[in-house]
Amino acid sequence: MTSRTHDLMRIGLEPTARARLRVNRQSVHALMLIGPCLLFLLITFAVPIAAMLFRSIEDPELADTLPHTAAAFQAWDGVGLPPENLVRIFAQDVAAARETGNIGVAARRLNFEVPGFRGLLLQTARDLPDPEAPDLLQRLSEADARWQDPLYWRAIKTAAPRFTARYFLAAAGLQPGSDGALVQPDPNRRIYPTLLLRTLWISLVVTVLCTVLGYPVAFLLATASTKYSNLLLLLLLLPFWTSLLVRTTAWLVLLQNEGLVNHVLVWAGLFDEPQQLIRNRLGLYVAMTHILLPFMILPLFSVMKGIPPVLMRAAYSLGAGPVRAFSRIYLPQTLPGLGAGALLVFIMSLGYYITPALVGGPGDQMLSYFIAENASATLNWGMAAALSLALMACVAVALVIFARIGSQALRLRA
Amino acid sequence: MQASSEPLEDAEIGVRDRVVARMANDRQSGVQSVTAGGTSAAAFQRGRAASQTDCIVRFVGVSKSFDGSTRVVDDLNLEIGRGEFLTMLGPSGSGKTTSLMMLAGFEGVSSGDILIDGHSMRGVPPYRRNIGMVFQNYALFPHLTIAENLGFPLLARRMPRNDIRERVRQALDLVQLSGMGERRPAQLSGGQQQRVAVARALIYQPSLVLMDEPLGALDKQLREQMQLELKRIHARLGVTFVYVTHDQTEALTISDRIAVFDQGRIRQLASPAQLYEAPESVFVAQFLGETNCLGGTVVENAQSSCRVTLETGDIVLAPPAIGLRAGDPTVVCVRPESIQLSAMRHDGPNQFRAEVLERIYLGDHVRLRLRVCGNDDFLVKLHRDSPMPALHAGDWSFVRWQPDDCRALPASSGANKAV
Ligand SMILES: Nc1ncnc2c1ncn2[C@@H]1O[C@H](COP(=O)(O)OP(=O)(O)O)[C@@H](O)[C@H]1O
Ligand SMILES: [Mg+2]
Repeated sequence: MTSRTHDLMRIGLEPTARARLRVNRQSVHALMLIGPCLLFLLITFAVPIAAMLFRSIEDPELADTLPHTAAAFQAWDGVGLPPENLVRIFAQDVAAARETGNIGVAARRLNFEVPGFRGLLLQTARDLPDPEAPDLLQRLSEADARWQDPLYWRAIKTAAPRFTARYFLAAAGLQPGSDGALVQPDPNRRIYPTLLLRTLWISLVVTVLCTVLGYPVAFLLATASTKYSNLLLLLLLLPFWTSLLVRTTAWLVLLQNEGLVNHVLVWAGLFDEPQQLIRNRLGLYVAMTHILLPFMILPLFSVMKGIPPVLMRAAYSLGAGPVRAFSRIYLPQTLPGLGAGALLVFIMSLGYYITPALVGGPGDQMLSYFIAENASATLNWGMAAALSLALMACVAVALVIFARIGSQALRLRA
Repeated sequence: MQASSEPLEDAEIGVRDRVVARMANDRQSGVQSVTAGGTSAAAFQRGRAASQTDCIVRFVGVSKSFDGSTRVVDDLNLEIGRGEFLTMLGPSGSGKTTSLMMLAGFEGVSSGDILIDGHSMRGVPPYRRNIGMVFQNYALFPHLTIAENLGFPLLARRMPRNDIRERVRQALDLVQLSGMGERRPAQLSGGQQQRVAVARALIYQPSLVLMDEPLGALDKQLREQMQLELKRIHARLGVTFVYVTHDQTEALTISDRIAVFDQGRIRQLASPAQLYEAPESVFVAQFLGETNCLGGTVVENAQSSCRVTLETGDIVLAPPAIGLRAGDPTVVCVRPESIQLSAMRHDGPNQFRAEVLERIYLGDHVRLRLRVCGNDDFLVKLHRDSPMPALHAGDWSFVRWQPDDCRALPASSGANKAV
């Protein structure tokens, strides 16, 4: 090969190779820049959350504390009472767990399946007959007649697998029946679907309220002279300097039966006696809308600020009246801000916890409340994790819908 | 638009003019159907031929104040003829935009009235005035396509969709943007956006079109090209243009008449040639083109000429000046291109010794800055092949000019407000 053709080849090859190299180097640089932050988020955020969410499908208590029982009962068909050899394995495991002090964990786990199982198991463990004696089931039943009830034995089988879908089924309002088919439990154990719908509904109403109230305010902010708009902006940001808890309790004070609002209403003659404004849905909407309003106004404001006022003048000069000019020219250009604000408010509403707990009634509690209760009161971490995942799924769906609308709006603008 | 594509461009202009002509015909048929009744349509045509008598816009004693004390527009009286190209020219802040916005209906008048076609515009909102408007930064709707931008005013007028499509196509042809209807404004160059803005203001065939510094954002070459194009469109469509600019060259190029604004008042309203050749005030003389000013006192203002003594004691002869009497302070203005240089003193008036302070070579002409009668900023423009030998800084020479080439104007407080 002559040096000339060699040169030609080099010229032919080089640009792409160099470009690839450059891209690589750029991405390495980018990675180095975001690296520390990424690592921090990974360690403090992603890993713990993943570990927590893993609990929604994990059910290790019985498998850990009564390992032989868990293995043997998974093979059992679950019909009627278990055969003698299974009962023996169970008694042996209970004796061993009592030795190691793990029996309490198993008792708590089984209590989720059948209320009262905890007491039964602890009592039985204390007065356990010799595991090697014959007619073991008979002896257990003599100590406590409940061992004659297949319900308790079935509960052991249910709790036996290390991995389970029951938390998700519960979140969907279902539970596995005795024959493996899915059944609906009685209504008072089927609260989660209703709860999820309620959470979505409350978030939607709050988002709509924030939009309706926030749009005109944002418009005023964006179009007022600098002197007034700065003042308004300050007023808008003021609440951020006080804690959420303080703002929520302030509503509690204002809206209570002896509160300022009721006094004014009665004084103005609108009502004869104080109205129930708090600890119900109305109070919840008022407080949540107030707290979340800035998150609607600020994105809207920043988008509106970028729309030159001359565009509305142009629309007027072209013969469009105020309604047409607004709906065809102004509104479409504010859609990205509207979308961002609505998304922000909706997603934040989905996770609201303190405000509903303080100003809502029993029928106004949202999903987060039950996540907290499962995580801290009943220590049912699997349920808490499953509910958290359900909430995350809602957020993800909201994001996807927004991305769809958003990309359309952007396509309009571009 | 590259200079290298000129032959092609000429061809395009030919096509464009035909389209413009078609639009003009459309427009007239549209007007005729509006002013139904053959006689009134005929009268309209005659009126247009004698456009001086038929005025479309009248400002009657219009004043505007935003804060209640300072008048941004001060007792404006102006009649704009139908089919005229009138330019409001003036320095920044002189009230041009405010006047235009009052005409468009975006600002109310503080006192006085504006009449369009003889009707008072008090209380008539902008969207009912049927005025076309081109804004400085085009004000195209960024979320709509070019075609949708052009169709917007037609849609607002409830025109059938098929007609809109046809009209938009014609308008795109008019501004040489055929095939770009589906693009967004951001995908067009500044010049193209400018064309769309003009087309959008004309597409519904208003009889009055307002433009507020529409070419301000374009580069020099494109601006000059668009000036000519606007003038051509104006001639073809016969629409009344009211145009605002602070660029005196632009105003001189495109206007039928120019209203020179200063501090909310019209200083002079005249044709470009009249303004340039016979300014009535030092302000106008200095604002339009370059001028040399020499302060002095009127000695005698007679039938044949006006004699002025300068501060240095020199005597200047000027044509008779209106409104000046002996003893009045005055400023004599003379354009740099009217001055001749000579090495020796000749016979005749208006000859002064001059010291060359600076010489600037500008290709087609040479500019000299001289000291004449105590004025250190006395400019002379010499054509490249003028017979004068090369002069350089420090040289001495004589300047002279014909009495008819200078003017003695009343000295006023605004005398030095040159731009
Ligand atoms: N909306 C307004 N509020 C207060 N003052 C204004 C407003 N618009 C214009 N002005 C003032 O009026 C004067 C004239 O402005 P304008 O008409 O825009 O001048 P031009 O267009 O000749 O540059 C300026 O001093 C400007 O500051
Ligand atoms: Mg202006």
